[in-house]
Amino acid sequence: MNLDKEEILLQRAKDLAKKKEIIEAKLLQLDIVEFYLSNEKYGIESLFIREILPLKDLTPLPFTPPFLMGIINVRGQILPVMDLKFFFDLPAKGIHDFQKVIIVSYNSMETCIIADSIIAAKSIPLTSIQPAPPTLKGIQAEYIKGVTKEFLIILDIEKILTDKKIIIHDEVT
Amino acid sequence: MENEKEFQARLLAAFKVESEEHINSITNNLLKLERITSHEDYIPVIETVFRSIHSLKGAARAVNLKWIEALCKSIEDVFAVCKKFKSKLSSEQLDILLKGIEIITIYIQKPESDPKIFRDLIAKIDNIKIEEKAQPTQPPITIVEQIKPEVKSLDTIRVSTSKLNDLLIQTEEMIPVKVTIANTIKVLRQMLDSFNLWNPKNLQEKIMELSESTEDLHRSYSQQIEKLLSDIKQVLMLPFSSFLEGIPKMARELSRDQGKEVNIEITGGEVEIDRRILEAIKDPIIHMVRNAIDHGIEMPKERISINKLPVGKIKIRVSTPASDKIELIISDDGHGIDIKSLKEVVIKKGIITESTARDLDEQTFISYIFQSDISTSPIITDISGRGLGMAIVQERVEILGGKISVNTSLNKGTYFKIILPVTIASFRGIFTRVSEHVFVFPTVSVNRIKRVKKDELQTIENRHTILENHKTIPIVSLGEVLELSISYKKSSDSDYIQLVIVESGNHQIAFTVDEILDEEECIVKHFGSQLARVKAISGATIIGRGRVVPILNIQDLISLAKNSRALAQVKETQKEENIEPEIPKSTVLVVDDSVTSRILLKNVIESSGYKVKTAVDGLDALSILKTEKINLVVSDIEMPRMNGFSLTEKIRNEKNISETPIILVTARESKEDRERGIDSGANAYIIKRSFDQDNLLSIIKRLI
Repeated sequence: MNLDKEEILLQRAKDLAKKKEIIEAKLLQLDIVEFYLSNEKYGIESLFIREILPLKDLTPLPFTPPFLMGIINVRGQILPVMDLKFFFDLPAKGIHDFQKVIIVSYNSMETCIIADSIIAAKSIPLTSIQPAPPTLKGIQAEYIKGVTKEFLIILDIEKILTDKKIIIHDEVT
Repeated sequence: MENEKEFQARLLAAFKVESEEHINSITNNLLKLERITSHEDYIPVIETVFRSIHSLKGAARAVNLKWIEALCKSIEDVFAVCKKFKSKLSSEQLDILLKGIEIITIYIQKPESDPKIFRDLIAKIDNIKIEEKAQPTQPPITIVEQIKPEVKSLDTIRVSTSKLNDLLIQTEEMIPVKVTIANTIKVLRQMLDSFNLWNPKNLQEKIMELSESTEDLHRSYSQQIEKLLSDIKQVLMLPFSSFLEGIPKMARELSRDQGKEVNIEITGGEVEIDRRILEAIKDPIIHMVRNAIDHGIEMPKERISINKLPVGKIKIRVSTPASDKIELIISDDGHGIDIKSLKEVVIKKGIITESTARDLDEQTFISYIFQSDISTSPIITDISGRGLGMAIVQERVEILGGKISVNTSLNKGTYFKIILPVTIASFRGIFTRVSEHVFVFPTVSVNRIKRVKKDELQTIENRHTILENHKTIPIVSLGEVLELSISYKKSSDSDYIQLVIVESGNHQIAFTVDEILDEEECIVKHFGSQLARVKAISGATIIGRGRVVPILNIQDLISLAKNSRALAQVKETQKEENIEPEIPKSTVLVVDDSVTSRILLKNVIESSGYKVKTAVDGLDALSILKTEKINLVVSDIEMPRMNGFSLTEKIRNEKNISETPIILVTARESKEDRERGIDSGANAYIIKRSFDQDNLLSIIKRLI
């Protein structure tokens, strides 16, 4: 009796595992949020996005590199806001009211990426993403996961958020 | 549905929390066993350990951690025998058992360690032979391996059920707020309808209803919310012992490694403190205890030679001298800080000259150990190394809004006193403005706030300075030290500069700011992992409407100011025509029903040399005006009994005083109000929102 039960359970587990494979195949899609930054289209995987907020009351900090725009208050939590333009050599465009911040997190790192505007959230097939063009060098290539035919640049959030370059650790000498 | 893996992970997480308690208890009791001499005290401790190890074993079995289970079983067996024969364990045997517990701790954090360690240790433990009589304690032959236990994180806290029940009841009592607000919305909608249909009677009734219910709500809930807040804070409090319990074990290992003997004495572990503060103060405490063992306590031989007990003593005492303060004392009976060598280092490094050094008393001198350039000096080993990292300790303490001081005497020991706030919220800061930037100075570090006339400044070696309590303090512009890009148009408009005199260690510097805004209690928010350390900024606080304001790191600021040439440049050009004739002081009457505004205005006006009288409303002002000589009136508009407009009209119609200049200062910004002010005969109309003291002063100057 007990043995039978075990066998049934085992079979059930196997079935469940199989179905998962099928689901996984479907998951060969990438959920992304698309946004504008200096007239270029970028995408961030939804997986890393905690939330998206309109930008208001940015407080700049002294002695910080230009990519760090300042800090904001997100319901009592202080978060830094980064401007990726400085990593991609894009023309600077002042802060506008319509600008948004995308809160991204990976492991214990949590930060905000500024965007001119949000375009859409969508799924794109993984197959449509091609590696970054070889013309990109250094930081530009490092931070990019790939590019689609529509010139959508998919950012590699994992790389960005684990890069020591974005960490500010400044002692007075 | 959860799959097996997730379930296992959850079980493991629960086990981690549970095991931590058992391990703490076992470790502490094992350490206690070593010190206990009397037989009666010994047995109950054995009982406790036995019970804890038994529970740990059970918990390990539940999550299928076989090696921990096996190790626990061996240790349990040892204690079972101990219990049976009422026998004592030797120092060596305790070492082996402690080692076992340590391995368990590490394995729980990182379960991938080699099973061989377990097998060897189990063999060792099983070899422990227990005799009925206690063995003489021998110094350990094996050196305890330095495996640092993972610093336990405080992701979970234990809260008494009564505290939680109390909170639940209070939270339930908040439900009516929800209901009342829903009702308020309903009534407001009805009012809007009545308004659209213009049904004034109905409207009035509804307003009455609303006003009453809102008042009720306010009455019953303002206190309720305060209480809830303070109770929640209570939940976040932890006793110091939750962390201090780990110190004896650490000290034991460290001192054994160095061949020293140290006894740690902890009192006041039951004192509760905000867990965020406890978390932040942990490393500094560990650092100071390490220092005391490393450099303070002498080798047993040396101690005996100077008539001290061979066992060194480190005392950690926690107490609450005031309800909002905690005092933490860490003292040792080692050889103290050698002030002579410290002096030599400080002079050698060119921090002070020999002649100044002679004038400084020892106490002032010792505080040099908090200076970072001293601590990093290699010479530090010559002077007992005490300074190492003390700069960091001081920084941590000051960020928390606390203070640290040190006392030492040669061959007797060193004594550190740290004062900490009980909760994070009791941090006070002075809000200042430089151009459009706002910064907070921690109040603890501010000695004085001062407004000085530019021509009172002294110039020494091309640097502006100010004399304060017979000390010459350099003046530095905050904006320039922070390298803010701002225009200096404003400061040159005024004859005054606003100074914030700060102190850290032995240094005082006066920073110029454009304006002092306020002093307030604020909550310190630390930055996340991306902003690990920002120069000159220690954190931020959030003020009304969610604006973020950076908090200044005073130590950094002083170092930056010393290095930079950002000295306040007060333009000399204006000076020529400023020949002020000696005239009798003019008197200004300040009329305002708010005490705060009255005091603010009074201070501002007095500081530029006028005499100031105050009145609480128009009527009061009028009676003063009739009896005393007043050269100018500064008045609010909205006041009980007689408002500012009526006061102005009354003054204009009163014979002897009709010519008195009047400045109206008001929150009313509309064009109509402004026109009404001018119509009533006021000379100037200043809007409170854009209040600027320099502007007010220049208007006063023009009118008198």
